[in-house]
Amino acid sequence: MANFFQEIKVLYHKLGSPRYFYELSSYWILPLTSLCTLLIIIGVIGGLAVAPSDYQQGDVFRIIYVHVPAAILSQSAYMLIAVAGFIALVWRMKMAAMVARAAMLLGASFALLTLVTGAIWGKPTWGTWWLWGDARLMSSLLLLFLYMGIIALRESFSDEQAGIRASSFLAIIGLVNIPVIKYSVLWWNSLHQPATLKLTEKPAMQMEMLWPLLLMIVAFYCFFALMLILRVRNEILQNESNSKWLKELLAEEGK
Amino acid sequence: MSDSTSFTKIFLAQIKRDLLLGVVKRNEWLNPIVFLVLVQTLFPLALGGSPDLLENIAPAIIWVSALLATLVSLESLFRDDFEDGSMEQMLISASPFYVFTFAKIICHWLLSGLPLVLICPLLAMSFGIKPDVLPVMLLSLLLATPVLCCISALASALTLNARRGGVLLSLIVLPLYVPVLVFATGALSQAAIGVSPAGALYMLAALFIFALSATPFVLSAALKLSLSDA
Amino acid sequence: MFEAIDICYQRGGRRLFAGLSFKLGQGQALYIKGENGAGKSSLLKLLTGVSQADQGDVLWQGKSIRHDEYAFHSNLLFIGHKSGLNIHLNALENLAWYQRIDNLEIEQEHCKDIFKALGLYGFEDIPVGKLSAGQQRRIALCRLLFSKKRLWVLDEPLVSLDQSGVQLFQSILQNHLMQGGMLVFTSHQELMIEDASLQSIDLGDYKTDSSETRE
Repeated sequence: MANFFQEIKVLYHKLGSPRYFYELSSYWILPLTSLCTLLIIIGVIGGLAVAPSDYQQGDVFRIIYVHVPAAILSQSAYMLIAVAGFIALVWRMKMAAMVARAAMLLGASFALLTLVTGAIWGKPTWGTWWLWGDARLMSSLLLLFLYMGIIALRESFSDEQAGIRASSFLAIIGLVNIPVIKYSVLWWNSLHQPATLKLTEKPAMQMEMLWPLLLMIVAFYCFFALMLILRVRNEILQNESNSKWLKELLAEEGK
Repeated sequence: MSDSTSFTKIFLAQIKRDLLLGVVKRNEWLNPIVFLVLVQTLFPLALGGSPDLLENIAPAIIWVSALLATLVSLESLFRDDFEDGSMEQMLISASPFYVFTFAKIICHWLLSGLPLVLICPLLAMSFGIKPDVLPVMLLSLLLATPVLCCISALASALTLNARRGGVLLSLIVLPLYVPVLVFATGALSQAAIGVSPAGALYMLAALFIFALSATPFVLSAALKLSLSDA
Repeated sequence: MFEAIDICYQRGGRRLFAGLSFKLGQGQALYIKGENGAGKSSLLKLLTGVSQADQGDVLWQGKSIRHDEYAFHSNLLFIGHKSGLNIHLNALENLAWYQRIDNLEIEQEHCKDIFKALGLYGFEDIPVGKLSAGQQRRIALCRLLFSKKRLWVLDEPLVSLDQSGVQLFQSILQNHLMQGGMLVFTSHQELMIEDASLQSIDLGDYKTDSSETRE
């Protein structure tokens, strides 16, 4: 057991170095891409064709196969930014800063996707594209605003690293705020919308409907990991363009 | 090690200093007040002065304009001390940094939060809000404005090194303001219809305590970050 | 007593210096040389603890400056590029503030004597914003005279000073070193300090070519 933790620790330190990360991650790209593609294909077919229609909403509910994974990912990405940002702030690890930076736009895209798919879901079910009363929509909107704030803050700095640090700090503050936002919106919801729409409760799902959802969630995670790795590799190429190890590596690959 | 009485002396002296310096810059604290009064007079004009409608949406108008007013007052909270080098000196002085940040937060509230607490009830009465709601209004203002000031101070501290841009600050601050807005307007509207606002007020109080205890240290960290990256 | 061990620092994507070390004892001065943009001010910020180095450590009396901040800060006097003076307050108020935040007694009479010595007599109750750059510099340097701090870190102290100001400043420095104080400074002009007590560091020597990155 102790050996296992030791290995994890070594891996963590190794990943903290741009060079090792670059070398190690090149092995992960192909497996991740294949897994992701496979899962998406199965998940989409399962969700669109195989899963039975919902007795209430008909076929419209199928958008949850995109909406729910997007929502989950947008929140996980935010957590990643806060954690990586914390490591970058406290221990000044360059890799952590790169990971945080790479995750920001990705997470924001997922948040936007959540909102758009939520609106698409809303139109047939509520009759309107947007409903101010729904707690989850409000939380998603505010999450998107948090993302926008973080990215805008980062971009307003002329010193790149300083920008990443400041926006990581903001992300951590936002992290503390997310539960507060959720609870406050829920409270407001209970105040103004006594007959809550069923969308805010997750109906107990039958297994036939659930399994494509689970697959899609894993697929989205793979996609996120893949995109993250590609983006971080890109950053390494940009930031370390002058280092010896990189020049040697690229020279080798060129042969 | 220094004893805490000397920190208290430094703390109080710092409040006095920052307050004096803040009052001297009349634009800084006058602007938000003027803005507040303007917004709260424009709404009735725009809505055609129907008393029922006004009374219904009064909590919303009052709170949104209060929020916007705190945004207007953000700029020079730390900027002057940051740019003339005094903040750096505070950081490396023999006194702990959070003494200074705490003093600054209090001055910030005295200059931009307290006026809101005093003016909003007066303007609210013009909206037709019944007098028995006023204590709730005052309490919610007293609890919420310090939280708003803490949040705006944090945002201001993080943007010290950024290129100027007013929209940036508002964008950062908006999601953080929402819980305060929700509970504050909730308290008011509940009181207006006769339901007990205790729940909302308790939440505001919780936010208040949390903000006040965490902010001096979080703000110190944010300012240290900005100073080290200057 | 004041040591730097193997300091590496990167800023704006550029590695400014690496492997920088020195040891400073009582009565010694460290002269930091370098071209414009080489990172002199950044180094001073690292040494005073305002910034943190990517690698390496700064020690005061054998302990890291992060571990016992109070002890370090009580002995540190830093005057940087910026005046550190509030332009709305007058000279006396500014200096009184400096004494207060360091937990020292505020000595009004002593301040007035110092002002006379620095040629500022009569200007002490004018808001600092209305004084010239040279006068502001002198006020900032007043802190040196009533400070009992052991380590002085000065960034371009002679800027804006005229001939008499420079001479005055030199004598203040000599005094400080003779009494066992330490000094770290940057300057484009040479300061008259005995060779025996003077160390110097040229940042150009520590600038690494990025191809020597360890990773």
